[in-house]
Parts: sequence; C-alpha cells; structure tokens
Amino acid sequence: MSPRFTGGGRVVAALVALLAAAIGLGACGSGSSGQSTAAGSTTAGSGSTAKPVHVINVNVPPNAPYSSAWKLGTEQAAKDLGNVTTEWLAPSDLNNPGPDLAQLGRAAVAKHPDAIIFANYLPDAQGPGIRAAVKAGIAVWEANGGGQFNWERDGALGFFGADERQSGEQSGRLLAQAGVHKGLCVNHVPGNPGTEARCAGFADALAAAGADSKVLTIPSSDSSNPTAVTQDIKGALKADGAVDGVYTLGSDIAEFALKALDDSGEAGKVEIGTSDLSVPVLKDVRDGKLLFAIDQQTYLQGYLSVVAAVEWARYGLRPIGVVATGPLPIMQQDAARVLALQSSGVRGAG
Amino acid sequence: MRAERHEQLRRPVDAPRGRRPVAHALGSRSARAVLRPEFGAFVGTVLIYLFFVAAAGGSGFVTLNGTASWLNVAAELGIVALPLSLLMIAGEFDLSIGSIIAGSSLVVSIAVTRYGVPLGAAVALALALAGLVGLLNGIVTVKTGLPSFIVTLATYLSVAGLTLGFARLLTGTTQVSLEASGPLHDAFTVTVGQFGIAIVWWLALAILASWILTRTRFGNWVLATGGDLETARSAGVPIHRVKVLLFVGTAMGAALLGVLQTMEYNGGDASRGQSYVFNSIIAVVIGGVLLHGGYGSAVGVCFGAMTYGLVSIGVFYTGWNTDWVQLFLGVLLLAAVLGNNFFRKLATRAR
Repeated sequence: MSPRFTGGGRVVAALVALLAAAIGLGACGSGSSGQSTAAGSTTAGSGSTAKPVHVINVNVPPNAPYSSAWKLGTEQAAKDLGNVTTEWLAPSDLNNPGPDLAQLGRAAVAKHPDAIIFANYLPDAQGPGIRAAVKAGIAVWEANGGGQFNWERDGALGFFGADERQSGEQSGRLLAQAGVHKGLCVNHVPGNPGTEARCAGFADALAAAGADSKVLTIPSSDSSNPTAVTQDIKGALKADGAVDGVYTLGSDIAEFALKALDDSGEAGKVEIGTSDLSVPVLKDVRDGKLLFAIDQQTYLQGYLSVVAAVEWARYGLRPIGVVATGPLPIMQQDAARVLALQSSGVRGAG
Repeated sequence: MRAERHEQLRRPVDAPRGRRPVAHALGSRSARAVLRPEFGAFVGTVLIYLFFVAAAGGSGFVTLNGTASWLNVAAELGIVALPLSLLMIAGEFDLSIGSIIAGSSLVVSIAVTRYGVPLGAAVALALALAGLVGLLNGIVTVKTGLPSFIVTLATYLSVAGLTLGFARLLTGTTQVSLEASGPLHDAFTVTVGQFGIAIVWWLALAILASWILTRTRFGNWVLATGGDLETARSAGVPIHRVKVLLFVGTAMGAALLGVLQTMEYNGGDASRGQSYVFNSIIAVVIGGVLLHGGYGSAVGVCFGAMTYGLVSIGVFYTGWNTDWVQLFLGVLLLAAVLGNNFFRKLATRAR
C-alpha cells in the first residue's frame, strides 16, 4: 500500500473497488457467452420483460448443413421471443453417439432448465435419460430421429420433426412415378438409424410400385472425401447397369452423384433425387438435373420447438402431439421460388 | 562403429553429385535396400490391380474411364501423403492435416464469396495460414519434446473447432459454395477426359519430394534425423530446423489439397478431409516408409497411394454387396502390405 493513502483516500479506493466488482459481476451475468462444454453454446435474446426461459437442446454437432440450420432455428427463435436462453449440447464428434448423447442428456437434466428438446436418434441409449428428465419435472420435447415413435411413451409433451422412413418412401414414390425400375439408395452414414430408415422406406415404396432397389454403402473412410464418394458411386453405377434411379441422403452427396453420372457418360439415363437441401441442389432441381429435393426443414424444427417450450413455460400453451416439419418435396416448379427466398443458413448450405 | 557413422554422416555434405549421397550416409548394406524401397510397394500395387482386373473386369474397371476413377483418388491422396512421408521419414507424425483440408477449403470459399477477396489472394491466404499451423506443430514438438502424435492431435481438434466456429459465425452455415473461374481455377480443375489435373500436381510433388530426399543435403538430414536422432544431432544436422520445415511442408501440402478440392467441388465444407488423417499414413506405410522413420522413398509413397486408390475404388466396381465394404477394404489393404513386405525382404536379401 502506498504511504500516501490517507484515511479518506482509503475509503475512496474501497468504493472504487466495490464499483469495479459490481460492474464486473454485472457483465458476467448477462449477454450471450460461448459456453465451453464439450460443445455447448448459449444465445440470449434481450430487451423483453417476459419471464426468462432456459431451453437446452441435446443434439448432434452443428457441422453439417441440416444440424447447422437446426441450431440457427433455435437461436433465431430465442432472439425473436426475447429473454430466452437456448443452449446446444452436442458431442464433439459422432464416433460414439449413443453413450455420448445419453451422457449429455444427464448433463442437461443436472442443469435443470425449463425445457429440454432431445433429438432422439438412438432411443435405446437416450430413452432412460429422457424419462429421467421427465421425472425431474422438466418439460421435455423430442425432435427428429426415432422420437416419433417414442415421445409419448417417454412422457414427452410432443414431437417436432420429419419421419425419416416417410422421407424415404416419398423419394421412392417420386422416382417410381418417373419410371425408375431399379433404385439405388446411397447411404453415406451406414449404421445410422435415420439413414437406414430412409433407405428402408425407399425400398418399400419402390417394391410397392413393382420396382427393384438396393443400397450402396459408402464406407466412413470415404464419406468425407468428395473424390472418393464420386468415384464410389460411379463404380457402383458401372457395375450394375440396371440402376436407373438414385436417392442420396445428403445435399453434397447429390452433387457427387451428379458428377459421377456425368463422368460415366450416363447423364440422362439415371434420375437422381435427394434428401436435404443446399443452394447448388436447389439450382440443379430448378434446372432439371435433379428430380427432387426433400427438405426435412430442420430450421423449422429448431424454431418451432423452442417456441413451444417458451410458450409452455410462460403461458402453459403448447401444440398437441406431432408437429410434422417435413418431408417437404421440392420439385422443379417449386425450386425457383425457394431459391428466391433462400437466405444463408436457413435451409442448410449457403 | 559409432565413429564410422559420424564420419559417414559428415560426408554427404561433400558427396559428389551423381552418386547417391544417402548411400554413403547409411553404409553399403542398407544402401542397396534404400535404393529399392519402392520395389515392394510396386509389386503390391500390381498384384492388387491384377486382382481387380479379375474381379471387376467386366464393369469397365480396365477402361480409361475406370482407370481415371482410382487414379484421381490416388493423386489427391498422394498430394497429401508425399510431404507427410518426408515428415514420417524424419520420425514424426501429423494428424492435423484432416482439419487443415477442411479449414483451407472454407478460408478460400468464405474469403471470396463473403469478403470479395480475389481468388489468388484467398488461395495464398489459405496456404499461409496452413503454414502457420505447421509452424506451430513444429515448434511445439521440438521445444517441448512431446510426441508429435499428441501435439498434432491437439492441433487437429483446435483447427477443426476454429473452422466450424468461424464458418458458422461468418456465414451461418458449414458448407459454402464457390463458383470460380479463370486461370487459377483452371489450374486446379482442368481434366483430360476423366483424368483430373490433380494427377499432374501429384507427379510434380513426387518428383520434388524424390529430388529433395535423394539429391539434396536436406534430404540426407531428413533420413538421418529419422534414422538416429542423437547421432544426427552430434554430427551437426540441424534436427529442429529440419523437423519444423517438414511440419510446415506437410501442412501446406494439406492446404494444397484443400484448395484443389474447393475448386473441384465448387465450395468449402467443414467436415471435409477427416478420412485423410489415416489414409495418408496408410499410403505412406504401404509405400515402404517405416513407422519409426529413417527409411523410405517418394516413389514408394506414390505406389502406396495407388494401392489405396485401387482398393478403395475397385471394391465398388466389383458389384459386391457394399454392406461388407469396410471388411473388404481391411482385408485387401492387409494383403497389399503383406505382399509389399514379402517382396521387400526378398529384394534386400537378394543383395
């Protein structure tokens, strides 16, 4: 302490210190801050006097267009409603999804938010955690994945999402209507219940129309390499000349399939449709290169699920049962309009 | 024996041109083996190719188009594997190349589409940032003495996080489309028939890597650093500088592939490149580089990349049920490495 501090000086110093501490504490308590969990992040809408609501999403990492759009939806809803904090808890990768998602579910319950929205991809692994959340008195919604069949049993208040199997069935129907006799479902995430359900629905719809189908598995060692995926699809098309319809499960995979088709000189002989959107995919649908794109509208899943959670917490209002956000098929005549309305991130890739 | 090794390591500095200086550095018996490390890899590649001709011949595998299929994959793998092979010969690993591929693809795409940066400057920026990551890898590894496996694993995670975080912060998405044109774009995307220009880049890098390894003093240093670190150090080889430069080279090689794929596929993607983390090490090892370093050749690594390309694409031409595709990949790769090993031992014993 400097010898120049007199009694009065000490009081002033103490007041300044107290003021600084108050400002510091105040800054910590509000605003949006990136939370540094394995992958947690927070958004807070401000400027409203409504009761503050805390919503946690337990989901997959936002490193793919569909999950990135989903997260955007939750963040936008928080901003639009005001005084809402949303968190996105996800593992840092999907190498061990069942245990990781179950663990994050437990972490979410421990934080005791107003609501938890579970993306229930792996019901066997995640189910117990979801039921525990319900028991702990937290409002629970399920979204996407296998949740459609389990939400009621788990005690959730509702479900937001598109049925994966239905997406596959719709694709199969659309390709069959276009005259396809043998369809190929390109599964670039083998073993994932969502993609497996899509391919299963696809096969059912084609069988019902009297057509044949098979699945092309892209190994995980190739799936992040565009050249390998393109060449894999090309090889498969060359090895089986009877295939005249292709259904891909990702917007980038659709682009690779188109390239494979061009490379193998079979353009025009094979119809391609895909799940999930991107700007290049929409352009290709508009130009007739792709037959259709099916949108599961994950942005809406994120947005509407947060709205439901907030309205329930504030006013006791909620939608009843399943809110189907998809599948929405986008055909050539719809593509131009969707493109005109496309703003970055809302439908996936920009 | 140790004094003799010291002498031999000093001599490469003055070794006459035209004679392989490496031979002097490592003694005559090892020299003959080093002269043909690619023989085993070459035989492995041929055997695998013949296998697929038999199993997939009817589906167009042997046509020009079919050959382009696997050669394009091999070329892109080779671009990453060649600089990595020099690093592995020096005894270090780099796991961060996967994230660098994704990161550089987004740096280019976002810089051009969101900030109006000209394509050339964006590519230069991506390469420079990658060089910095390599520098970080190298400096941390040599200063702390930690295994490069751990250091580059940490960089892998960090760069992946930075890539995703910045992508979503700046654009709200994880895939950014880029429609570019012009001579720089063509330099990465021109094709002759189905054969991509990546093949030219790959061959150029192979010639460069081979020349560095066999005809320059730096190449001797690389082999010496990997062969016996303490001997190299006491013989005056600047082992730290060698390692840091190799880390920078590896990172920039990864960025080069990232840029190439960005042009080829019209955009960047945060999830790209992860398979290269292990595929590149596989290609390098099949190519005859020992996991503990000190031994290897660029030509061998080219054959390693070709073997991997053949195996991973060939299985799809066979028409086999793809549910089992990863089993086929594992078995065929093991067969390739065993064949490679067998013939390499045969070649060294015959001398």
